[in-house]
Amino acid sequence: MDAALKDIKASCNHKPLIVRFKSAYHGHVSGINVLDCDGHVFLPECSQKSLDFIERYHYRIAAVIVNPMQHFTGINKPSPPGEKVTHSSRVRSAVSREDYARWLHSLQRKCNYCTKYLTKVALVMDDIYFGFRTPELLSSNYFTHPDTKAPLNPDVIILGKALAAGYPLSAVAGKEGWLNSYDKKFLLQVNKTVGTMAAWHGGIVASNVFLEALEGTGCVKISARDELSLLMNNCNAFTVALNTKFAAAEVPVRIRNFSNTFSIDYLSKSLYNSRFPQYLLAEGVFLGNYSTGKFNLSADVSAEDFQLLESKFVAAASRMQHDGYFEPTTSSAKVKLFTTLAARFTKNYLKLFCDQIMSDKHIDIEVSHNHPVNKFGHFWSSVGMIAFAYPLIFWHGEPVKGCCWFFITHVIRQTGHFFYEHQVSISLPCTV
Amino acid sequence: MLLQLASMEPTTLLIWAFIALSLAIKFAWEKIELFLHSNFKYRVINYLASYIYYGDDIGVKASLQLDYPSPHILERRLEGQKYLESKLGGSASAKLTSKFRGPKLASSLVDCRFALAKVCMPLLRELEFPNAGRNFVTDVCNNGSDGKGMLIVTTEDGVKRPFVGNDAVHTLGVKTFYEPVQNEINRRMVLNGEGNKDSMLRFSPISMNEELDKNVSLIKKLSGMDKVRYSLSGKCMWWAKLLYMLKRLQLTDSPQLHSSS
Repeated sequence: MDAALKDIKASCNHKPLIVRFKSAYHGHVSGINVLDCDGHVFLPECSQKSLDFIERYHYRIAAVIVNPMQHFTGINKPSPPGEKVTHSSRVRSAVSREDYARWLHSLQRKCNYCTKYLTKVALVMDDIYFGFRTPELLSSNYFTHPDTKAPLNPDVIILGKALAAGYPLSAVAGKEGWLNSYDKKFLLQVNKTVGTMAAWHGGIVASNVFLEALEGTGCVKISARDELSLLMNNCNAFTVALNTKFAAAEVPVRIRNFSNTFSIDYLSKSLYNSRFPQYLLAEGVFLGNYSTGKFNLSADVSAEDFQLLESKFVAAASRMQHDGYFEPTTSSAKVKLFTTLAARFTKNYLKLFCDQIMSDKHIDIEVSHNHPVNKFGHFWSSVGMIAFAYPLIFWHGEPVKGCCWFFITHVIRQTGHFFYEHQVSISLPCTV
Repeated sequence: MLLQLASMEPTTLLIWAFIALSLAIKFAWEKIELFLHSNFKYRVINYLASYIYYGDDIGVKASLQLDYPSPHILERRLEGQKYLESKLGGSASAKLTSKFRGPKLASSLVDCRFALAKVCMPLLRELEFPNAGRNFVTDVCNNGSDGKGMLIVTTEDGVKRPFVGNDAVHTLGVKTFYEPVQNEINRRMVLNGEGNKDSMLRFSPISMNEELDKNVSLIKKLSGMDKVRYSLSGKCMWWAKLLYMLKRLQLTDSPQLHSSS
C-alpha cells in the first residue's frame, strides 16, 4: 500500500492527499495506520457527498483507496482485523453486492472524470485481503455493474496475502501512467525490482505455480476456481444453518460471511458481548489471537465439521445467554456508565497531571535544590525578601526600592542554579 | 501600495476586496474541511484510551456490574464467571504457568498492533483469563482420516481443539491444493546439484529472469493492468522527489513524471 501510494503521488505531481473510507483497514505500518497517516482524508462510503468532495478537491487528491471487504464487514464500520472492541450491539449496516458494485462504479466514474478533465486521481483497489477468495478472484471482477455487467476498471490493484500460495509476496499492478515514476533513462537497466525481499525468487516461483493452477494451466492440474465455488457455497450454507439455529435457540448472535471469512454480529446492546469468544474457548474451540469478531475457515472443512462448529457456537451463545451477558444495557445505566467513565477519566487525568508535577518537583529537588550552594542561596534570598523587599513595598510604601531588593534576592537565589547546574553539565563524562 | 489602494475607484476596490475575501474564505474553509475529515478523531480516542487504562483495577465483581444489572442478573453473571474460570482459569497457577513455554515466549514477543486494545474492551480487561498452555501450538493436522477435514490444533496442555482462526492466506484444501502446489514449488526450488536451472536463480536476487517474466505476465493477465511493482516494504522515493524538484526548476526533463494514462 505504501509503495503504491508513493508511486501514485509521484505520478501525479505529488498531490498531497489520499482519500480513504471510514474505518477501512489498509495495514498498520507507519504512513498507513489511522494514527499515523498525514494527508489521508476519511470519507463515508456509499455517499454522494464523498463523490462531491473528490471532485471539489481533485487538485489535492492523488488517489482514492478502497478496501472492498467493507461491503461485508459493513460500510463505515471497523473492518478486519480491527474488531477487537465491542461495547454495544454490532449489527452492521449491510450493503448488498449490487449496491456496493454501483457505488464502486460511481466512484470509478468520478475518478475517471477527474483524470480526464481535471487532474489525475487514481482509483486504487486494496485487494490484499479480498483477492483469491471467490471464483472471480479479484474485486474488479466480483463487483461487475449490476446493469451493464461491466467489470470494475480501477487504475491500480494491490495484491498480497494469497498471491503466492502462502509464500511472502506482494505486488502492485497499475495502468500505464500510474506506476511509471522510475527513471526510464537509467543507464544500468539490469533489473527493475528493488528491495531486499521484494520479488524474492521463492515467492515468484510459488506465485507462478499458484496463478497457473488458478488458470488451469501449468504443471499442477487443479480446478481451483471450482474449489473456490464449492468453498463459497459451503460457507454460505453454514451461515444460514447456524443463524437458523441461533434464532431457534433465541440467542442474540448471528454470523455473516464473505466466502470463507466470517464475522459475528451481536443483536443485543450489551456491554459484555465481547465475552462470546471466551465462551467459545470454554466450548473447546481454538481461536486465533484476535478472533472476537472474525474468523476464517478453509475448503477442508467437511459437513461434519460444520455441524460440530454449529453445536459449539450455539452452546456457547446459549450458555452466555443463561449467564446474563447478553442483557442489554438500559438507557439510564448507559448514562450512569458514561458519567462514571467521565469521572474516572477526569480523576485519572488529574492524577497523571499531579504525578507529573510531583515527579518534576522530586527531580528538581534531588538534582539541584538539595545541593548546599542552592540551599545557601535560597535561604539568604528568602531572608532578603522577608526582611527588606516586602516591608519596603507594603510597610514603607517604596515599591521601586522593594523591587530592587526583589531583583537582588532573585539574583542570589538563581546564582546557585546557574553555577551548580553548569558545573554538572560540564562535569559529566562523555559516555558515547 | 496603500496609496494605490486609496486612489482606486470604489468599485475597483470593492472588486479587489471581494476577490481577496473570497480567496481567504475558500482557503479557510478548505483547511477546516480537510481537518474535519482527517484522523483527529482516532487521535483523540487514542489519547483518551491511555487515561481510561490508567488507574487501579476495579475488581471482577465491579467489572461485572458496570451496566448496573439487577441482583438476579448479577448473580447469573457471577455464576457464569465461575463457569468460565473452571474452563479457562485452570492455567492461572504459577506452577502451571512456569511449566509451559507459551508465557515465556509471550514475554519476549511484542504485539506490533495496538498496545491497549485487548481481546475484551479496556474496561473488561479484568475479566480475561490467563491462557498458559492454550496459546502454544505443538501440532496441527486435518480432522479427517483421508487428510481432509477442518484443522485441529494441539496445544501445550495436550488438548486437541478445532481451529477457528484467522488464516487470511490459505483458503483452499491442504491435500487438494496446497500439497500439489507445494510439491511443484519444491521441484522448482530444490537445490540438489542436478537440474538446478530454476532454483539457482535465487542467488541472483533482484535480477530480471524467466520466472519474473512469467509472473509479470500472469499478474498483468489476471488484473488487466499494464505495469507491476513488487514490494514487501515501501521504499522511499527520494530520487523521484528530487527529479520532480529538478523538473520544477527546469533543470531536467523527465517525461515519466508527466505521462498521462
